[in-house]
Amino acid sequence: MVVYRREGRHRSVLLVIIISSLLLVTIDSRGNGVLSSFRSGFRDAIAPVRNVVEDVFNPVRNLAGGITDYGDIKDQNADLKRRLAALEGKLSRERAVGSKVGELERLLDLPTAEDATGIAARVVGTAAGNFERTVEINKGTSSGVFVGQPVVSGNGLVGRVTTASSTTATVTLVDAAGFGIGVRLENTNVRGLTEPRTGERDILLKFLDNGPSGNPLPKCSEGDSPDTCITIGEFVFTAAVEDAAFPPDIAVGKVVRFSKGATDLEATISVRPVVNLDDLTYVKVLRWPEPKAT
Amino acid sequence: MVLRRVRLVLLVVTLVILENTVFRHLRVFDAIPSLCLVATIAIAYEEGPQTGAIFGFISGLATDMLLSGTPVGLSALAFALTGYIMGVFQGGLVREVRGISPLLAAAGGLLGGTIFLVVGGIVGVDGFFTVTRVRIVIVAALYDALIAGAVFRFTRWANHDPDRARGW
Repeated sequence: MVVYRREGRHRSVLLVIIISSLLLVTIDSRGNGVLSSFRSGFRDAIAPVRNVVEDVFNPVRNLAGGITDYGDIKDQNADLKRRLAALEGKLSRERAVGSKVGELERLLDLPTAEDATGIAARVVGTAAGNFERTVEINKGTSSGVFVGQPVVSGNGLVGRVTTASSTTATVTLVDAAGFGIGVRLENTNVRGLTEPRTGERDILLKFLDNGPSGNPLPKCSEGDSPDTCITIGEFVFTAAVEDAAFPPDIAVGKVVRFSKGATDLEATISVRPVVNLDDLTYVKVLRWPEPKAT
Repeated sequence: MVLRRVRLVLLVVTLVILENTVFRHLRVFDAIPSLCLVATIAIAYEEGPQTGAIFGFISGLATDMLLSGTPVGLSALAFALTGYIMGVFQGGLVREVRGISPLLAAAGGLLGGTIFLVVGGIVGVDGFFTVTRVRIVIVAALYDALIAGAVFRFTRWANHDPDRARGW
């Protein structure tokens, strides 16, 4: 069937829409409370429906994942058992050292991650768009979750709360572009700053300090003392800084790559987050800094 | 007429929720489809540029409400412009083409994604002009093409009103 379609091009309507959109963009970029409240309200309004859909879809996802990833899960299980045995041995050896560190921390009155109480939350969704590294959690301001609070999972840092409505909150993940964290290396304690790149899961690490010798840290070769160089697999922890956004000593990631060309001024060091940020189910929002009793 | 508008509002809410729940687990090369953008293209194809632009603005605003790293109005602008341009393109077609929905969705997805990136970059959103983001726009556009058939059908059902002349 041939259909001739003619419609007057109401350019004035388009112009109004363009101006309205640009106005909204400008107002929101400057941090307008009304738009933020509207956003929070919308999220709260659809949160119950979203939770129901998520709950309904979860078993299907788990079933599909179980079938397609069966081999991987089996290998992962065996690997985890091996690592658990190794870690139990290491833990018992480090317990003695750990107690001394704890004593020193108490003496110096340094706040630690253990000082911070937390709010357990479930991940209920990610941002609707393609260009954000965020997750939505099912706790908001009514549960004591506020913007700026750090979020952790069992094994490390997940991110920070960036928006919070009454019943939900958005957590920006540690590998989101523009999310810098003050960190220290496990062996040398040299401090640095993370520099995530858009679309990349591994995070770049920039150093603020030089190594003990006064020069940038080299990559460890066989026989080198780990206190003087960077080892692949070495942990990176949040650094203890005054008024820090994160409690110290939370594992952020592991060094996975170290490369330095002959003409490069500094090495490129990549850190892989210890937490699998693409598969989060439960997280803990830390009350940090912990409100002080008056 | 009122019933149709209610259905269209419900369509937008449903698509936003689906995008935010089911499709977040179905990422392909880090990309998810933009269901609301595909619905906008479907409306623009059925109704023309003006309705396409209005529907795009509303569905884009709904999408913006769930984003946190970009300002409100960015998706609204991208979707409205895409709706308008796709409507103008549809006006130039002399006959209805069967099975055109994937092509329209891919073209609209590329257009909408590009407008989103360019305007986002101009207003200063972090790291908007990167190769990774361009790759995501391309993959998302292909993903849009893949789901276009279902979204077009759903949108046609919501938009259907035999007693009504074309338009908003």
